[in-house]
Amino acid sequence: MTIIKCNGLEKQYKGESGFALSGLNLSVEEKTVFGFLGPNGAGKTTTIKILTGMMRPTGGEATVAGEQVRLNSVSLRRKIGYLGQEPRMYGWMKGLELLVFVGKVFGFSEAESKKRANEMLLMAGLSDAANKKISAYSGGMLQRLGIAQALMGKPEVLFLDEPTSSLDPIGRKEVLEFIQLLKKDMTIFMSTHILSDVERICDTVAIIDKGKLVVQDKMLELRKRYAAKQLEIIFETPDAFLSFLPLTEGLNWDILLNAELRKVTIQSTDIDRVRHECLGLISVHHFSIDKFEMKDASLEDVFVKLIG
Amino acid sequence: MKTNLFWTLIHKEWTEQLRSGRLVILLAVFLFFGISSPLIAKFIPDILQSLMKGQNIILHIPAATWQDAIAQFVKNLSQMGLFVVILLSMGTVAKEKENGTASFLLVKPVSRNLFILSKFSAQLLVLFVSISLGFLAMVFYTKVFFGTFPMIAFVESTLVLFLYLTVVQFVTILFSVLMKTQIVAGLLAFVTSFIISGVSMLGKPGLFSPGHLLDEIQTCLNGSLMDWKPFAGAFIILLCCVGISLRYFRNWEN
Repeated sequence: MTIIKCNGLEKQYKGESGFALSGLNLSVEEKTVFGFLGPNGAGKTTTIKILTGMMRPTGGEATVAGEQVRLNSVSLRRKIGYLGQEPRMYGWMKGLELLVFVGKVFGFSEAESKKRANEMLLMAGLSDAANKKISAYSGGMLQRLGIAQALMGKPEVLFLDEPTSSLDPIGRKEVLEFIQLLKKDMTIFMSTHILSDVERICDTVAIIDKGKLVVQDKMLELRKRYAAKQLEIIFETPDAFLSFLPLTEGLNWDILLNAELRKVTIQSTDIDRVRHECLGLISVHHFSIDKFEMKDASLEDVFVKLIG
Repeated sequence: MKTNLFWTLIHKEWTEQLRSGRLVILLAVFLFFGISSPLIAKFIPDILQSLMKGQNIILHIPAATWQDAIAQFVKNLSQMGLFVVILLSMGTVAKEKENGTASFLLVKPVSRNLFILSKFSAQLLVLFVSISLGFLAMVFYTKVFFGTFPMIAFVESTLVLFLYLTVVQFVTILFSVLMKTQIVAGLLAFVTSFIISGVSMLGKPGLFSPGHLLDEIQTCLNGSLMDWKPFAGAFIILLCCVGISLRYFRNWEN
């Protein structure tokens, strides 16, 4: 069942000639982790701000959890949770105190709020820091508290805007594991430009660029559609690499994805033929190689192909 | 039992005022003037006499009365109190917009109207508690130094002063809603307070200026009938501040 639907969403900021969003169409299925990808300035945050009722679209319409998206819609906000790029919370409050306050904002009684707040702190691994002032929390703790507060109202949809971008590797790992735990209970709409995070936890992916949807599909389908198998060769010396490149010019290969110092990645719909041709060239010219590997395409390759 | 959202927001505002030290500052300022005003009124004539004695100048200063005590209280709070009220109210909404906590709250089921009304109410409550404390201190020390005095006139005068400071506070909160930063909001509130005082000198329309409320305090202490016009002007400004804030904030995009 579709839980988020956008039809021709448009947004033009005051005083700007261009559109931040120009006719964005999206459809998100219930209880999935939806990865919302795009380069910086593509319109990811603008989309999330519109879908959470923080911003008014210039055109188009959207529904989230059956609610028409409008600025200042309280009924919409009862059904969603949101965590922005940098969690902004009341630094003077303690972790438990903040969650109890949020519970009350959602209409729970004092006792219900405390019970749920303690559950959320436990789930976020913050029980030990429950009575610590938020201003003293680390980046990873803040992010987890941010998700915990977004979950206080038992949302149907959780919006996360770049939830891992400001975290170190350990913080990122913690937050991604936490998001994976939530998957079974709600729909998670996550914007990011960290492709490995999306590959790790998302079921469906949409890529936007310049305010428009470029593609939307299930993760596996996307790889199948846009990125066939690849061949990666790493030469032993830069000289061998530089001698190999001119030889490829006359050959009918689909895409030479990248050629960095000593490393070539090749993609083709007829990858077996390319592999044999490469082996032939290496053998005839006696190139010394460190690595010759067939591998599956990554989301990064799809992204580079579609946006780059 | 479900929680009342308005009281939850007021409670949060109150706790924030307390923990940030803003409430303590305001209470301390009002308490200081509540204590010092009767003291100054009582001892200034004696101090002046003793200073002049050495220079062989004889001053005939009438003995201080309870009216001098409250006049001193009103004078101090309408000047220093005004500055403190502006400084402590200018961040009411602007600071939340600046540090992103307004967005944090407004993405939850809190209507923007309720958010703004809770801000005005909490600030008003803080001002009321502060002025009440100052009033109690002033009443106590006036009783100690001057004996009996008409309590009704004291209460009325303090309520008029409270209304005057509320106008200043609401104007500050309005700018806090309209502006992006609290510094700009504070500056505009100062300028507007001076304009309001200046307008009171403009013939007939000036009679509606809340700046005249301070004159009405004297009228009240003299036992004369107060003019309704500055009160009407004050209430119109209060309503406009709340109305414009609600209207503007309804369309504010986080």
